[in-house]
Amino acid sequence: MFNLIKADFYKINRSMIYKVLFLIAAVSAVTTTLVSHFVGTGDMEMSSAGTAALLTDVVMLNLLGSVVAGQLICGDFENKLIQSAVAGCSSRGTLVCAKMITYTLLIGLITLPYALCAVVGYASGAAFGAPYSASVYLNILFETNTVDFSVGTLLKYIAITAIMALAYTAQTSFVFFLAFVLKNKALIVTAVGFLTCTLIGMTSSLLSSSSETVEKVISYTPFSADAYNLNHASEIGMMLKVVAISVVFIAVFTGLSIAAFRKTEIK
Amino acid sequence: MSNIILKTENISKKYGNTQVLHDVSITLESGRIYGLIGVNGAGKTTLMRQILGLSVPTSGEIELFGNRGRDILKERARLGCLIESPGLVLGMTAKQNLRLHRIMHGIADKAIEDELLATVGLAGTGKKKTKDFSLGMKQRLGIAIALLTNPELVILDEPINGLDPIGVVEIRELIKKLSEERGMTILISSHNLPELYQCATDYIIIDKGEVKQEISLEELEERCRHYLQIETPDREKLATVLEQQLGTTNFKVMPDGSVQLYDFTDERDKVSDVLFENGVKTTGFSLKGETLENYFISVVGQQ
Repeated sequence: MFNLIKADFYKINRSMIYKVLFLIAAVSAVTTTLVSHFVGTGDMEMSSAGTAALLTDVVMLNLLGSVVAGQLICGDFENKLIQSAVAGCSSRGTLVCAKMITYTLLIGLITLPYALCAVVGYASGAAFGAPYSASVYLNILFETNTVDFSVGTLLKYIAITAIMALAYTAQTSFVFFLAFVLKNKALIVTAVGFLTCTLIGMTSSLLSSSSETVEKVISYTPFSADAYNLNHASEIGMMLKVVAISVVFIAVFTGLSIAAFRKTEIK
Repeated sequence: MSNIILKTENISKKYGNTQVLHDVSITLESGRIYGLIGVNGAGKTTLMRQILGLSVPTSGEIELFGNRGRDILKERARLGCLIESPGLVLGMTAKQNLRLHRIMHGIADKAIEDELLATVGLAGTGKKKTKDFSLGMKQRLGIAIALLTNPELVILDEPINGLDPIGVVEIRELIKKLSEERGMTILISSHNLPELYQCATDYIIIDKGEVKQEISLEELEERCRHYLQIETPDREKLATVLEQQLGTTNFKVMPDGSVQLYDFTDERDKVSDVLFENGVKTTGFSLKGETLENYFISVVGQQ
């Protein structure tokens, strides 16, 4: 499995598309941070900041995560690397697990610019406005106005970053599964995946506010508000809950992907 | 110890209502070159895909290096393959593609990259991306990838498709070299029997998903041998003339009384003159024997 992951990163390092995706994430992270700063200093109205909500981690991770799943899996079906791996000696289950680990690490890398911006914002002591979108990083930036800098808090923010990478992987794990079902249709996987994840995210948010029972059910999914509300004051129990739910979701969709791929034809 | 590398037992594959393979049983022995011959759509690629685990048979069993069931998973590390087109990242160079596959297969020896590029004649491609490669170059790189693990069985699906005549000869020579020098067993498919005639040691003729015939090169040569068929009431005299006047014993008297002469097939006039001059009366005199194409057509039963 390690060889497959290593080979994935060898290929990713030489691929332009992943560099572009990382650049988009970096530009989006810097933009959302700057907008938050301008809102905090009063140079920008909260109403004007709304457009920047499209660049926050929530939206961008759904979009970029879907593109990554399309490229990482469908791309390898198209260029027959999956065929080579299976015809070599990798079991299909091992291959799916290796892809999921690579996918999680890539989501972590895409989350990194947001995390770095939040940490730099925190360390800079600059003013940041109230979150203009449901984003854990905008929350962190906003609370830096009231939280003094400490190594403990910094470590907690780093931990939240890792947890959010897991949560976003879990949220988009449906796209990962879809890629193994549709195989070499990267564009469809990306489009359907992004729309589905966005729709589920929006629906979860709306339904949560409509009934307590629904809210409770949704709290056991990676789309729960618990993930977006993680901050320096979050208890370890809450953080572990988000981790556990994310890991279970990732495991379920990895299992579904293995089931879908187990006997499928590899063209 | 058995020298059987691969055995398929009654492999069948069905897609919906279409039966693509029907009870295919073949046995491959170590160190030989097997030509899998069939027209387009005969089931060659499907059979190869079952062996490689890219498709799961509807029924039947595969034995690889003496192992069956889940145990053949690890045995696939001893295989190399090129199915239809190679697994390449087009934005990478030949060496980068080889390295990608080397890492994927966990091969530590970096020197093998240059060695294989030289073997398949791609050593000078440098920074040229594979997207700029000709079809033949891609096929060669695919063969290099198939050889990365120093496999004991190499499965090549129409590897000379799209190659120019020089490329065809080079790949053919490479295949023979791999078998002779490294003792590799090779299963190579083609829709063209004469194309494989110069490199395969055994032939598996497949049609409509069924194995029609397994035949060795020697048997094939025997069946496609050209000869002069001479019919005469005076067989003894004919034999004497052939031996004494033409100096050949390379003929057979067949049960129907006709004589098959395997020499002088290009000198029919000379033979008929000698027979006439020596008073041998012939009732039939003709050149017989199958061409490879005709033989293949006769086996698959098509016109």
